[in-house]
Formats: sequence, C-alpha cells, structure tokens
Amino acid sequence: MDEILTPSTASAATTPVLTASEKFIFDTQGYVVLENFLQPEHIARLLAATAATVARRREQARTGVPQTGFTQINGKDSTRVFYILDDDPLFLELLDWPAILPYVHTLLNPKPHHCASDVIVAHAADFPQQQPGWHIDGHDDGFRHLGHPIPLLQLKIGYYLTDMTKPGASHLMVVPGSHKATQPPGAADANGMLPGAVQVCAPAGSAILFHNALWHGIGPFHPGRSRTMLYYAYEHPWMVASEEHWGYTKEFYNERLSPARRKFFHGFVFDPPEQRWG
Amino acid sequence: MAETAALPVPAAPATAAVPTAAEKFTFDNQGYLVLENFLKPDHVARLTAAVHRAIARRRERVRTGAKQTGMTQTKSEKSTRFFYIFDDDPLFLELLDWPALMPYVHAFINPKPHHHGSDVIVEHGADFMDRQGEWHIDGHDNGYRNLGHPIPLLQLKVGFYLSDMTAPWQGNLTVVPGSHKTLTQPTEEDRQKRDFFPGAVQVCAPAGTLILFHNALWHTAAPYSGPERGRTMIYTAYEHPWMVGSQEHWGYTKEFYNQRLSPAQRKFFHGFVFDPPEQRWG
Repeated sequence: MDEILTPSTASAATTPVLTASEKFIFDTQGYVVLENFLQPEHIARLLAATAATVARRREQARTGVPQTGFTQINGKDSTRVFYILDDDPLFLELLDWPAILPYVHTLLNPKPHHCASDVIVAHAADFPQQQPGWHIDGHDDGFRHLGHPIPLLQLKIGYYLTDMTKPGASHLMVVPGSHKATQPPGAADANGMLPGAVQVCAPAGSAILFHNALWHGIGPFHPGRSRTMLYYAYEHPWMVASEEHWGYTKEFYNERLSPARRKFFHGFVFDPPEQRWG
Repeated sequence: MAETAALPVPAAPATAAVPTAAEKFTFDNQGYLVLENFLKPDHVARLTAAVHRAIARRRERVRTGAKQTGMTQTKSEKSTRFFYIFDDDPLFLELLDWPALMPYVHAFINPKPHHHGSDVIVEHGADFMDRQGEWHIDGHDNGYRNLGHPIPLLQLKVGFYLSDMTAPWQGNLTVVPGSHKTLTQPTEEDRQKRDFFPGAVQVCAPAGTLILFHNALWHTAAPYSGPERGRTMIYTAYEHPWMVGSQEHWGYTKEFYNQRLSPAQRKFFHGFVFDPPEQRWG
C-alpha cells in the first residue's frame, strides 16, 4: 500500500472557504468544477493506488474472495470498484480531505455522513456501444416523490485522475440546472444527447461536485481514449447510508478510522456500538 | 407486560379507496388530516388501560433507576410522557401497522415506510397551566430547513386522541393549516401568545380520532383553561426507508426485535437491529 500524503491544507488558517460565486454556481447549475484541486504528485499516488486496487479486486473476483463492495469487470482493462475506503489509505484520507470539507459542510451539512465511494477505470475498447445512461441519483427513483425542487440529499464528488480536457473520453455529462427541473427530460437525440447537455472537460486533479437531482450520464467514448476517476458521496446524518457500508470489517471501523472519520458513519457500525446520534 | 390480549386486528376494508382524493388534497394543502372515529370505543378503552399500566411500570422504573427503552418524563404525580412504547404493551405495537392506518402511511409518505418514533402523553391541566408558546416544526437539523422550500415530507406524524378533545384549551394539538409550505416563520412574539395568532387552529375532536400531519407543519399543544382538564394521546411517526430512524430504537432488546415482531412489522426497522442482522435494503 502507498504511503499517505500529508494534506497540504490541514491548517484551519488555510482551509479554503467557498466563494459566493461557487455557491451561486452550485445552486443555479447544480454542479461546480474545481480545477487543479488535487496536486500532480497526489494524482500520481492515487493512480498507483487505483492500479494496485484494481489488480487485487480482480483477483478477488476471480477467486471468489469476499469483498467489501461490488467489483464490475468489463474486458481486460476496464474495472469499476465500489466501497473503496479499505482498499488503500489514500482512498480513506480523501473521505475528510481538509480542502474538500468546507464544500461538503457548506453545500450539504455541517455534520456530513459518508454515503458511497467507487473508482472507475474505463477504456474505450471495452465499451464499444456505450450509451449515456441519463439518470438522477437517490433512493425511491431519485427522491422524486419529495416534490420539487428535489432537495439536496446526496452530494456527489468526482475526482478526475486522468486528463479530461478534450471531449470524447467518457466524460461526466450533465444538464446544467436540471436539478430544479419540474419535468423529466424528453427522449435523447440520435446521439444519446439531451438538450443543453455538456461534457465536463477539465484536467486531471479536478473535483466535480454535483447535486443528486442533476441529470447526468457518461459521454461518448472515442477509440483509444480512457478515463480514471474516483467518486465519493456524502449525505445527511439522519440518513442511513448504504448497506454495503456494513460490509466493511469491524477492524476497519474500530482500528483504521480516526476519531474525526468515525463521525462520517453511524455509531451502530462499531463494536461495541457508539451510543451517539448521527 | 399487558394482562389483556390485543384486539383482533381487522382486515383491511374490501373497498380500500383511502385516502380519498379529498383527503389527499386536504393533507397536501393543509398539512394535516383529521379522521374522527378512527378507533372504536372499546379499542380506545383498552388502549387507555394499557397507557395506565405502562405509566405505572415506567414510573416505578424511573424510581428504581431500571433501564428503559426510551425516556420517561414525570411532570408530577399525574402527568407522564414516555417515549418508544412498542415493548410496553402489545396494544401499542399493533398500532405500528394497524391495517386501517397503512393506506394513509403508504400514500402520504412511502409505500415502504419505516418507523421513526412513538410516545404516550398523559397530561393534567394543573401541571401545565403556565404553558405558552412552544411552537415548532419537527425533524433533524432544525426541522430540515436547510433543504429549502417547501420542506419535504420526511416524517409523517400520527396522533391518536384517547380522551375527549371536542372542547378547546385542554392541550389540544394546535396547528397552523398550510404552514408546512410557508416561506417565513412565526415571529418569536407570536409564538409566545397564549391565545395564539391568526390562523392557528386547535384540533377539537372526540376520543378515537386520528390526526396525521407533515413534519414541517407549525404546531404546538394548547394551554389549559382549567386545572381539572387533561388529555391522553399516543403519537407515532413514520419516515422513509432510506432514513436512519432514531438511536432510541436500538434500545429495544434483541428479544423484542427477534421474537415479538411479525414479519411485516420487521420491515418497519432496518435489518441491522436484528440478531443476526437481516441483510436487506431498507
């Protein structure tokens, strides 16, 4: 396993604060892109951790060894791994990376809980018929029955680990402002695109934060292209999170989480359970 | 434990056309719905007897310091409120999925509802003559205000009147109809007025009445006009299956979860409360 980085922004004095512009963009567009959020050496370490994790998970899938989360294998080179916090300390430390927490606290909840995590390694050759798969996130068909606008219940954060400045690499695609739509989108066009959809083009190291109700999918995959990215999701402390969380071992919960990180999970996952709210 | 067996649970009516369109409209528009004569008189009588047995047992536990599933508040010798009541009496537990109630819970909040909370209130006016204000909305994070407007329906509160509440000023549930959609809040001054501000309505209804209301509805309990008056009622609450419930739930024993819940009642709780845990979503 790779050595963890010391967060460069650990000091409260240097902790970034959301600008009014970022808040406005997130509120109106349903997403905000933070370029150069991760430093190049951090990206390199995360890529190495991803490669090691993918190799280990694929071997576990091949031999039937139990895994915390699901591993999707597409062809020789493409893999998606879910619930990755115990796969590498570098993945765990992103959970409460000091530079991201002000965004999570401000946009979602000052006492956020972790909802989900996954890593995606995708190569175009393994997805010759890829469709956008437009959707919104959340239980009960995207929390639609709660009325409009659908509230922010899950804050999704994607981290690009490869260069995505040019379209055609299976980018995250979004329809800006669609988290406030009162109507579902109509049928996609012949290319699978929705009106107003954009590919989020940004360099490696970018963080993309988006609202659960934002319509999103994946973009075209041109031959020879690939992408590697991470997804993390946060939710409110009065939500239950995912059953897959409970697949992490007691050793993970009891021994490998700092006191601050324990707060991202409900007390009942620990042994003995922590008698606390949230 | 209760000495009397639970009532035979009535089958869901063949004409399960509830809630009606008018009831749905009223709940959506007003934020609450009142169903009079929902519980039959003999059911009310049994529940009232169960309340008094449970109070005697709970108060003894408070006196001796014995462990309880939920908190017990003892205002005086006569007034008691206790929380998380489903292991106090089978009559309380059977209200969890009472067949006549379920169509409303399924239609208003979620077809796969989870239980959130429960409590019993017995008040004597003499203990609450100084009551005023206490207007509030329900829910975590200061009533889910951070989710924007209108605040979504995340908890469906269910009140059962067990005493006659047809007259006002005896602790009646008091609401501001339509306030679950408000963009503003009552002022602090208005919240303290004993005679209430314009628009506030005391729910006056007979014993056996069911009241369903939205977590974001502004509500309180009415002051008392005399020390001889009082109220007895039960509250339960439901939420979505992707919500976590209350930590107090986890104070119920494994015996309660494993042995005393029907298969249908187990679905109102997360799988992790059982021993061994049920590996299921919701």
